[in-house]
Amino acid sequence: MADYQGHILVVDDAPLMRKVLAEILRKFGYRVQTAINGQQAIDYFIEHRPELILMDADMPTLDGVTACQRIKALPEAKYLPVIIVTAYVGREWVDKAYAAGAIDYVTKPVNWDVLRNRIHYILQAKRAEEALFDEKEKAQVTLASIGDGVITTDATGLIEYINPIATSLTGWSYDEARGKPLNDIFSLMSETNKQAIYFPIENCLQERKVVELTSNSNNIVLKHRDGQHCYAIEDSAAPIQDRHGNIIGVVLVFHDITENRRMTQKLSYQAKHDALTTLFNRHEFNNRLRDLLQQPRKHGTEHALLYLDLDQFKIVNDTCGHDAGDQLLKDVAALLQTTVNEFSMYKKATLARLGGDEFALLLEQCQLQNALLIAHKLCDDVQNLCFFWTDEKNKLNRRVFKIGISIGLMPITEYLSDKTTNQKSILAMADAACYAAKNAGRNNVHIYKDTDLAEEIEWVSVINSNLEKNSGFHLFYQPISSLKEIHYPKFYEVLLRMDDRQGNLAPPGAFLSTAARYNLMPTLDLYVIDQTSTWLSNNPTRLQGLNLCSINISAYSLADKNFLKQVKEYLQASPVPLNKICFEVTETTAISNFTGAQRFIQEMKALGCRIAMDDFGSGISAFSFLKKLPIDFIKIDGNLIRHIVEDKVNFAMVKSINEIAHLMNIATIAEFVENEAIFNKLQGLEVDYIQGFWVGKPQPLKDEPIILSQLVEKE
Amino acid sequence: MSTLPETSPIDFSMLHHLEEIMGREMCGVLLQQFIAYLPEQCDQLTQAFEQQDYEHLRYKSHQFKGECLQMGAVVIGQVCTELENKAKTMQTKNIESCLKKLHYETQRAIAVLEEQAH
Repeated sequence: MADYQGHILVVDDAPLMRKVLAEILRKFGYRVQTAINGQQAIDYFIEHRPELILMDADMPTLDGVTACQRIKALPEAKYLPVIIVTAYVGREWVDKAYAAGAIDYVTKPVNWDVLRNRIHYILQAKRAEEALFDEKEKAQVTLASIGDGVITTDATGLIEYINPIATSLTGWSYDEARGKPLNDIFSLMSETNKQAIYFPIENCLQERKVVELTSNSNNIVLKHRDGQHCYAIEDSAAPIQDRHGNIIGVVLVFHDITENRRMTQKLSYQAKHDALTTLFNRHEFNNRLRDLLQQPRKHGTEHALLYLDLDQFKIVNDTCGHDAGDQLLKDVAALLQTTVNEFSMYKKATLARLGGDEFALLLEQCQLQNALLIAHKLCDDVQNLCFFWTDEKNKLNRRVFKIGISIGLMPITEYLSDKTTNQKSILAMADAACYAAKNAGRNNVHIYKDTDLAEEIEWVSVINSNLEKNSGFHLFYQPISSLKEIHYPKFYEVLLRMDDRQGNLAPPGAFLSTAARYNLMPTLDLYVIDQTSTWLSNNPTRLQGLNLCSINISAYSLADKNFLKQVKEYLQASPVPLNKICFEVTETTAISNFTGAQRFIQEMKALGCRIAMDDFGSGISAFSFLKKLPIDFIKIDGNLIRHIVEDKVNFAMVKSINEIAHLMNIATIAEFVENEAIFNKLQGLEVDYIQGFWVGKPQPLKDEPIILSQLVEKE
Repeated sequence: MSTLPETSPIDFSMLHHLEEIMGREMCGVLLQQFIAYLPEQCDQLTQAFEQQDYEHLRYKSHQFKGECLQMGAVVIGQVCTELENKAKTMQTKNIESCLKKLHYETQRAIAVLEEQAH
């Protein structure tokens, strides 16, 4: 392909003239096509886009001036130069030609040198113009497509250009914004106090400075024209200088960081909050506690730290799954927060979930008696909470749970020793107080005593040394009488007491939670089995007069993988008839470790032992679950029995438990029979067995005959 | 009657310039085509007059004028200008004499050009 200087269309009706023009231009290095009238010229232009047209004026069909006008009306011909070549020299023709959009007017006879130069310069100018347009178009397209908002102003700060992103963020279109002062369109505001903020464009214009608004300017937002939307932005405005260094305007570039700022806020929120409950998390709680403890202690200023642990949470989690457990935690969290908010007797409250079912509450500038009031209200509210759960797969399987909360209260006063004023030790003390609350019977508040932490450590060593010397523990028994043979109890529950080294016998409540925490429960349970079996074999007459001897098995033992094997070894080695041994497993234990409980119960039944379900009614009272376990006795929860006389609901519950148990051929034992009134009620219900202080207090398992406390005294 | 010396029908400077640009050969071909073209155009103009198509006569003489001027045939160009004006202003009486003059000048130009071509 020849390297043409350009593509020219020659339009002339005179054949010879057309030929001469074409040949000459070819000689000048152009690619030339010809047309014989204006219409042909239009058609050729549309199809082939020549770069320049040389057009005769007077032609048949369509004259050159009209054709020029029509071609120039086409948008594609914006930069097309048309030169009118004619023999007419009159003013009328010249004016008509230029009015029609011709770039030049050449008369015949054509001076070839003039024509050559004109074509050359006209094409050069056209190409420069096109290049300029391309550049401008590219710049405009770039500005329009750029992800940032761009606004340019003139040297007086009036807007010259605004790109589509800037339009969408400000709400001002190009036509509306043009010519307006920058601050009318780019309206900034403080996110916190909603006050307008003036953008200092003068700094750019007068001081030639780049003005920046960074993400650090945290609370500045760009207000949309509609007044509804605001965008967090980052921007920078720079002066525009011409080639002589004069300021001719300002270019302002900004982008929407709303999402970024939101993400930052979200991350910061997530770092401080518990995802499940939306309460503060342990990390943030520790920070706040540490900050509080680091403050100089002022005279008379008192704070309180509450350590909260849910009671019976594990049952919900284990029987209904984690979804239910999670929902319960959310419900409790919301309840705790609401309760805390009801009070105003503190300066600031931080409620956090520390993990699992443990929560903590930090009450700043709160007197002990006020903190205690709040703690008791929290206990009451949690106890009154009814948690309903419907199984997703089986909508009919709907359950209701009642739970409790144990609270350890740690007052933070000016008298705390320096040693204890780090957040870890304070939290450990609150935790110890919480355990003390649990040991005291759950759903309780316990105020930290200096002995709480020490006691626990102490108990471990006492238990261990007692186990070693084999004389620190004492077995007690409590009679269980049949209603039919009330004076001749042939059924005992064996109980454990421990020497506390200070001459006292500690009840299990004092040391069992410590034993559990230090994994000593299987050892203790085995100890009881062994000692009971030894005692019975050493006392054949007592063994003979006895129908059943009941021994408690803890949840921790059932979870121990060696326990079952060891129990079997003990029992098989014992001379005691195994049908005289009954094991008590609490309802809560069986529910929370159903597989372990089921296995133990089945194996013991296979050996001939009996099984009692203890504290039935304190948990969820799931009768359907009883069907899966071969139970001989149900021990109705003492808390139901204790109030059976005055509380109709308790009475109804005991009645229904008793009836259903009988329908299932399970014998019932009522615990906590503390007086005759209770006894009378139970007699009316036809409960099978009774146990309690009124029947007989726990007594040392010695060789003396049985003493029936109340009954003997009466008779 | 003494005859005034006749002006040359051809401005050779135009042709020389054309030859400079186009080359001798191409220019020669073009010249031959022009020689053949001249009588054809004269006939067409005469025909237009005979048919009293004065608009066509005006248009054709304008067109022919441009070509002749470009080829250096300046005298024919002048006659064509006259003819164009007469046709435009409908001075029909003088057209015939003008056409005769055109034929005469055409023959003269052809003679000069053919001489030049050889």
